[in-house]
Amino acid sequence: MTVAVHGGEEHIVRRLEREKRNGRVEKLDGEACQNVAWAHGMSKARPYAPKPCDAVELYRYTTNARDTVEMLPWIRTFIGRIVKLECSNPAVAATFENDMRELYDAYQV
Amino acid sequence: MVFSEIYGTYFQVVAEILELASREPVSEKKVREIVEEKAFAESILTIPAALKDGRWPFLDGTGKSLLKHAPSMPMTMLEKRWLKSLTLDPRIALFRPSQAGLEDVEPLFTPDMFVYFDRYADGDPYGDWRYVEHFRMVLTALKERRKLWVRFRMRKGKECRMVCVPCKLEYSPKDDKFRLLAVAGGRKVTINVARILECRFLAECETGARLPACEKREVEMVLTDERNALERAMLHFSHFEKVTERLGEGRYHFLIRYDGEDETEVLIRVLSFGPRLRVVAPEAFVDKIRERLERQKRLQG
Repeated sequence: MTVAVHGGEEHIVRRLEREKRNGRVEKLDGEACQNVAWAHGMSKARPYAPKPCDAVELYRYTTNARDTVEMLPWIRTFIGRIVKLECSNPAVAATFENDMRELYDAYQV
Repeated sequence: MVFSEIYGTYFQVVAEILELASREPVSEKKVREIVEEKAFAESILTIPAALKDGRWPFLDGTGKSLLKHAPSMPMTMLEKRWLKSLTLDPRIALFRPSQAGLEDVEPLFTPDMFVYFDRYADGDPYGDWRYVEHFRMVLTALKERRKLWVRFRMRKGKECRMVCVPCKLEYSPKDDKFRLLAVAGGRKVTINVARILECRFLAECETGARLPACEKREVEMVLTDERNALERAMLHFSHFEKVTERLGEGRYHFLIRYDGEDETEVLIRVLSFGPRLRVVAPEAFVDKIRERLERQKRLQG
């Protein structure tokens, strides 16, 4: 799971480190962050105004788990930041995408 | 079961009555007082009547015990070994429980026999002598109603010093942390015990301190009971005040009340249920969910 972390959101990185269980968290390089900055900053309530501190950083969480489907509730707690979700069990990514579509419909997003 | 029912409330209450009755006749009024104080609400309908009419033939007509000796509650070796194991838990050890009678008892199990696979990584350092010292000072301050001067590290690493009146100590099994809830300057403060750098006793409190009431908020949701969502939600939100109402086949109206300062935590817990739990009110909470979904949609392209 690759997660985007905005400037001033160090608590998200701390949460990843605290809740990673047997997984590991690594910071990705600067170039990978550029594409995310625009999407992460824009919102209807708060139009994006670029500032030096608005850098977005990417963190990748990786783990081996016996039942990856059980991880979905925890993965969903990062909704709004998940740039990429990859899993050797295709059902996990498929379920996540399906759930997101249902959520978009339910909340008319 | 490790413990017999003889350690249950009914047996303990009757044992106390009989212990008193072995020394002097015990009146019906006294029996009722003991039952009201120590047993369950409905016990008042059962215990005094059973002792009086002889269904439980332990008292004579004057209220004296018919037993030769005052009742004792001996423990089996298995029960003692269980208690010994509990005292080895580093969290329980913080409270310095009495080890009387357990000195030569071999524990039933030891903490190293457990493997925790689903725990957060930064639980409190129960083996650190400074942590233990601070914890016990906090506990003493609570018991003796004393003010504390505390120097501690805040979330972003900054240090803070304050005089506070300790009110409660709470443990979070999810985070494996103890937190001190106190009043400082009329406001509620929450201090992680592990972040305390220094603390000192001050004068005793003159009056019982109370935590100021937190702003309570409500969030209403509709739950669809798929993938065992109802049971998971009841468990996940078990420590919140809530109202659950069945709407129809597999659908429930789910309302929870929470402290305003916990709103972000509640929001991500709601999100963890995905489409099975949909927020319907208040609009401000729905907007917060929508904002996160909008961001997610843009990230996914």
